Amino acid sequence: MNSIKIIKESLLIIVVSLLLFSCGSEDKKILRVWTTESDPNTKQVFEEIIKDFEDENPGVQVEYEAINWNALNEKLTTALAAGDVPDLTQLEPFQVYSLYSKGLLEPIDGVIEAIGENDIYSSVRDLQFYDNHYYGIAYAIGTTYFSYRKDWANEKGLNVPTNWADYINFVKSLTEDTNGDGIIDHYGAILPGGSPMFMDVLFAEMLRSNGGQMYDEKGKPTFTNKEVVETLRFIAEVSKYAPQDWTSEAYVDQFRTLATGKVSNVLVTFARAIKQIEKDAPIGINNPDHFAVMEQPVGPSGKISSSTIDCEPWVIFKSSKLKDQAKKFLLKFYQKDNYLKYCSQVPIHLTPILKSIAESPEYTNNPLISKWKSWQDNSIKMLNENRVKPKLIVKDSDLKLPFLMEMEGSRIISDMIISVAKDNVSPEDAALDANKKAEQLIEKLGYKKW
Amino acid sequence: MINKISNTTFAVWLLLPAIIIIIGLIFYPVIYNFNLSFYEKHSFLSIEKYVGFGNYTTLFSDPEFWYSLKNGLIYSISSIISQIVIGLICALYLNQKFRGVNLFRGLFLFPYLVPTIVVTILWKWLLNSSYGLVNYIMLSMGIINSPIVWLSESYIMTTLILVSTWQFFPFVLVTLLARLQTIPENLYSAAKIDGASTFSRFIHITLPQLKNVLLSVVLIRAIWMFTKFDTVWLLAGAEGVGKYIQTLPVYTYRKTFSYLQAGMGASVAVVMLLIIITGTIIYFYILHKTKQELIEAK
Repeated sequence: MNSIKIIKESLLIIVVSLLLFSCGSEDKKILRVWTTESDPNTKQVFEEIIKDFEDENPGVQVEYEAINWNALNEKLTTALAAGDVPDLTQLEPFQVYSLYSKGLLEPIDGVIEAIGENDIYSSVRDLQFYDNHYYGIAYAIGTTYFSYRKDWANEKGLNVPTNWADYINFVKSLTEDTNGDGIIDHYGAILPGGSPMFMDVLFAEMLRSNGGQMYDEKGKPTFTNKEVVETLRFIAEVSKYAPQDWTSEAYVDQFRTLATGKVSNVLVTFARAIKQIEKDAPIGINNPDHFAVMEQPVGPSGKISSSTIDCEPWVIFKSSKLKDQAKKFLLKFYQKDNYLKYCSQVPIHLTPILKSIAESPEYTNNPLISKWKSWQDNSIKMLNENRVKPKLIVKDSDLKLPFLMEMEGSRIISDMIISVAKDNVSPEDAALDANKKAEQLIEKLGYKKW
Repeated sequence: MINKISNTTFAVWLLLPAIIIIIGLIFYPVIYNFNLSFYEKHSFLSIEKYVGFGNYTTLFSDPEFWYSLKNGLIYSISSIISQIVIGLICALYLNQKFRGVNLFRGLFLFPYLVPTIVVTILWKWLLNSSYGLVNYIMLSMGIINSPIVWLSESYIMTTLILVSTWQFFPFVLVTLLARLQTIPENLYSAAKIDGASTFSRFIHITLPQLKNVLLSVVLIRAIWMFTKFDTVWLLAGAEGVGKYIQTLPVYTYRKTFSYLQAGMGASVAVVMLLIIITGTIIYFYILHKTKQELIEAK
């Protein structure tokens, strides 16, 4: 009997303690922020911005989470399914339209106006402009290249290839068993098979350079077109000169393999690779004389090479209870001193979206930009010549397809590539199968318009 | 006031939270999932349409479903067999009396205590084809002539089975060891006097004594391995090579959170549940039949 009394009294004490504890907790508003920027230095600057913001807004606490690019789509869809999205997050432009079309995003016209509408490069500003409203703002600008070992190519007297046929010969010549032990020491190329999103990025980019399209004007998949089949065949051919485990190679790890001499070509390269080369390549060769970039070679059905733009815009969810604080935070982020410091951590890859900063000596005098000028020049050239498109976008009209987020998440494209490159499925059959799956997916999601 | 509540009422009140939790967290989701499988439902939008058995028809005509089922069976059967064999050998070894046996028991338990994310990252490093320790050791010892590409499509299933075996064999070990320690010593002494060899004692004394525990372990491990998600996903599920080890739980996840077809995802989950229930019934039927035959033989 005594023991029951003890249990009853203990329970009462626990309940009363819990009540007292909950009454005493601090009532701070939590602003949840997701960022895709993973560089440790930029994270540090971001944390400093957060601290300043919190000091200026004592009632708000910022909880931020750095999300891996590959995990963003899955994390986002899981959060949407659970109704637990952050207040402010970075997305890809194709995701912005998907979410805008579902009525989930908050317009941020006021933010754009306050930052300076005309100061933002139009190539990234207008990507999130729908029905006369801005629904996102790019965090920075980066473009893709093909990077390669210039010193090895020079040693062999190889010219920079400009078309796919020459590129295949290029990677073939650079695949070498240097010591004759029967084991390949330098592979000709590497593909980011461990990061399906980057495989999709590569595919869209190559398809653009081959004059193709992925969807017709009604959004119907056109994967069986000649240009798509040629692109599949090209990627599969290149993969023959890649290490056998390229299907598990993560995007960032590719640059380590380039820097350490395991491979001589990386097909999906952003200027973020510079930091990896600076860190991992032997001293004396960690420079653009040894590691250079080339324009994407052009396919047999294409006329002009095309690059991919990276700009991961910030968006605010309509369901956020702290929309105003999220907008205030964005203004703090783009404040000149903060933004300059942030972008300078990964120069060239994080080119500021504001002309007044990007073209200012404070940014351009960065020692890394001076050293790797040839990389910067390539980016500027592609941007100026308007030969860039956001990730997964082949034609401008693709940007307004509401199902690209689901398409990327489905991995239909990367699976199609792997089945051709690894399972000996013919490009025609793989394309037909992927086309069927894509049509089914679009239909099931209720976006079929053909 | 508190003392006026009867002990029975008090007991009911104490049980109530557990009952609510069981209904809320087990029965309700299962029933909800069954119901969801009859709808074409977007994963995060409130778009849904009743399709009856439509999701099941689509599912059974999808080659990816059958491929995932095949992968799941290969993975679970292979890893269960290897876990049982290694777990049994280690349990027999650790059932001996020797100096430091307690230390070894702790060490053998270690893989089971490590979080899955740590296990997978660790093994991915160890098995890396360029700088992995496993290839280095095997090359140094002359076991292989060139590095094995463990994370390629040719070896990824083997790698997954190896990693899972390493991680989960301690469960088998601990369970069997506990039973081994309760087998009366006099059975072995009597057999020794009768001239039974070590192998003969193992076959005629140890194995029959372990039989019931082994059968339970097989059932539990079969359910756990067939529904295993984390190890598969973390090892390569999100990567390109992941398609070669895609099992039904991963397929369910992809249908729900990649294709955003919650109804389809729910139907795969229902099929998985039915497979497990069917397997369990067959297992118990065979178990019951074997016991009956033994009783009749006696």
